[in-house]
Amino acid sequence: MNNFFRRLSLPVKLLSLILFPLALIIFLAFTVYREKSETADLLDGYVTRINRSADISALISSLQAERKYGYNYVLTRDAGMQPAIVRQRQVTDSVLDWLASQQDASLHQFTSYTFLDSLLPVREKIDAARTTPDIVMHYYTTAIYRLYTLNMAMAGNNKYPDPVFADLTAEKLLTGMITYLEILSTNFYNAIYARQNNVAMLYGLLGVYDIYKSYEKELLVKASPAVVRRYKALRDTTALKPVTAYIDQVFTRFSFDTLYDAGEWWQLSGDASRGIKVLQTDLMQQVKAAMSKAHTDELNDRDLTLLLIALALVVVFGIMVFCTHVITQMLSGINAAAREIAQGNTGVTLQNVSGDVIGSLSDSIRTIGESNRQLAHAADLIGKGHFDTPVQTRGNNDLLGNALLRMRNNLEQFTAAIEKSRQQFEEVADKAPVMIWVSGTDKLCTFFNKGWLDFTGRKPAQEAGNGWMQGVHPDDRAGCAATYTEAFDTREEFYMEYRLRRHDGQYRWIGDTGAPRYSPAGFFEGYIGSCTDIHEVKVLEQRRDDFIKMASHELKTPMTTIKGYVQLLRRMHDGGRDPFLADSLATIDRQVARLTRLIADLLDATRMETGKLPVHPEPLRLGHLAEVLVKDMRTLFTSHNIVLHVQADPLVLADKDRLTQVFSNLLDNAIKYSQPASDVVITLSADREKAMVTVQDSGIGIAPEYHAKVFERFYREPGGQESTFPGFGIGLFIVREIISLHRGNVWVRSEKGKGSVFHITLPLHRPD
Amino acid sequence: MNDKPYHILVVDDDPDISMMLKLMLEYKGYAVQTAERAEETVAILRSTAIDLVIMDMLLSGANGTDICAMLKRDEATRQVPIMMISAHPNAREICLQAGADEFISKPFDMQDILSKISDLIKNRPR
Repeated sequence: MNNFFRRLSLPVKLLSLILFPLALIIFLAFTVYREKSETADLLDGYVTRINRSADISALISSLQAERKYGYNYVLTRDAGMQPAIVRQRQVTDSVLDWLASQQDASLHQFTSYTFLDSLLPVREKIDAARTTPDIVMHYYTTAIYRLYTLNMAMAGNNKYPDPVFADLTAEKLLTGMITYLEILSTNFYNAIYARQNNVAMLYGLLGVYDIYKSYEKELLVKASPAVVRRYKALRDTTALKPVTAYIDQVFTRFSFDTLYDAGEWWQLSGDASRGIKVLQTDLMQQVKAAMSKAHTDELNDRDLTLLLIALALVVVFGIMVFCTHVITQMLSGINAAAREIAQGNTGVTLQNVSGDVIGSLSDSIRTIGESNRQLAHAADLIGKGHFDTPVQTRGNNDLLGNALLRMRNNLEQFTAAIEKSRQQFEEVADKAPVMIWVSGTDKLCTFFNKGWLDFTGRKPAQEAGNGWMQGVHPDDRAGCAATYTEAFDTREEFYMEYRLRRHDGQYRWIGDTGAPRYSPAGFFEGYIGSCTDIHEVKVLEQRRDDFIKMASHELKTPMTTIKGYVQLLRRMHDGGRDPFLADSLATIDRQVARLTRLIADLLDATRMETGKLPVHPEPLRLGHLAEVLVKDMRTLFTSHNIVLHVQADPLVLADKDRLTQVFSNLLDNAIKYSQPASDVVITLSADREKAMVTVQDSGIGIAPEYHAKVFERFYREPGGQESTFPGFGIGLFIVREIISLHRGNVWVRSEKGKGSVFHITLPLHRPD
Repeated sequence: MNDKPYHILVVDDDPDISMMLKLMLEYKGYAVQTAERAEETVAILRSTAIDLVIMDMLLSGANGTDICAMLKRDEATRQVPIMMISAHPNAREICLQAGADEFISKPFDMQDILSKISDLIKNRPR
């Protein structure tokens, strides 16, 4: 049902919504019309009856006038009354003609039981004066009486009383007959009992007898055939027959005879009445039953009507709800599908769609979904490099399809260009004298140039990915991987040295410089690295470092002896008599101290290069450290005036020996490059975050272009007098390295010929 | 200086240094004995009441650090403070790890070594 309805077209669906209420309205209208028709029919019956009653009243009125004129004419024979009589008779006749022309069942053959069938003979007797005034009066009076009773009868021609109308009329006529028969029977009984032949009484009863007969005639006209049969049986077979025969005989002879005595008459006439009464009672019962049934039928009919209306309402409401539900459901389905497609889903299906506008809508949505899926599939294939993938555009205005088509074509050209560029790169890379590798965004290597492959003697497939790591010396592998990964993750350039196995099995030191690669659009694409064989350099360096280490150690041993003896001698001759000896010993001591420092610096510089300089930080007060140092320096360098300004005594976390080394180097430089007797000033200060130390001299100064260079290893200012000063050019390099290890800064402010100020900052230590 | 001088044992395979230290310490009033090898050192420590040992880290034969560790393990000698000396870089950590009470790098300052010796003797456990 549901599916059937879904497949109906939208106009039919909407029409159904209108059609069913329309049917209900028609049904209700019909019901109301029927009810109204019945009421109108009933009213019509009453109107007819009123009209008929007015007509009969007019007839009665005219007959009354005719009676008056007829009576007077018979009594007086006055010819002058004739015109009035004729006029009146014309009035009566016209009314009779009018009534006869009406097709009214209740007036069927009414002249036969209202004595009016005798009107013409009576008029003739009046005109011929062959009658008496009493007879004229009697005739007209009985006719008028019967017309009155006819006028009182109920209205017919209605739906409701129709089935019982004949029986009801018959029952009333039977009642009248019983009444008049009993008047006659009673009077007859009195006459028979008194044995009086009262002619005047018989004349009086004649009217009663005529009325009885008129009722009988009306009964035979109006009663149903069944009732007529029953009555005729009654009249022909029961006591009614001898009674009516006797009554006829008495009124024919106008005298009673002795056929019945009083008792017999009483019995016989009583039976006759009872016979009619039985029929009358039966009819009454039938009428009651029929009316009761009509009433019940009507009530049932009303209930049925109500039930039908209620049922129709339920059905119509149900159909409307169903229609609305199905339409809403279909639209909801389409809506849900559209939303899914809007969210980028593909493969959306819609079921039970109709051929109308809703179906067409769902088809469109399905088409959108399907073409989206096809385009997505095509884009996916193109993305994987299948440039022969066909792209079905959905018309000239299909932006998406056309864009995809353009993208495919551009991508194809772009890829070809990249491939060409890659080939060119590889050609160049293969000719380069260095070893080159390239990795992708996944850290895995994708390319090794000829230089690399020749070095390792392995195939590209063996080196690809992380394969090259197999050639790295096992001791260097972890460090190598860590450096690469760390730099890669932060996209920083890196330099690392490791031992790589050559094709002949020898491990050789390699210097590897890696840098991130970016596309022209700025997208990260991986790394590229170039490597050189630094084995010889490395070996030489190692030898040099070993030599320096050994040399410094070997130099220190004799230095220890010399220094010890000099100091012992100075102590022994302190305040001695021989100033030359004292001065000589002091000079030896000073120069030995400087030599010691130089040897220490040389060794430290080497250790710094290899990152092996040990640092043992502890909380230190810079003030105390400076005081001890300045005191020592003053004993060594009496030539200069060493001044200490302690503006603050900051606490730092530092290696005591290393800091002493820093300050000694700075003081040593200051003394070395300035005139004897000049001031060398050390100032200690601090702010909220850092400790500051300055060492100021008034010496030869440094040109600004060399401010950075003086901190480099083995750097000596070129030319002139500076080269005459002793030193390896590593003092300031060591200062910078040590301060850097303490997370501090060092710099110089100086002008040529105007002295130098070395600045050092160190982070403050805040013990928690 | 007390009437009864403190006894110091100098262990170094370089006789120039041993002699220089001996002179320096005797000048300051200490009684000084010298040794060149492990066996000697142990023998002297067992026979004589020594208040301090000054020992070079690298000795021919046995290592100074090994002797130091051995002396520190021995109930009889563990109370004696040991000052190690060396010209070797990184020697400080090695010596202190071996149980030395003090380390002085070569070449040393006379005032420096004397004040440290004085501290060690004063603070030594009795």
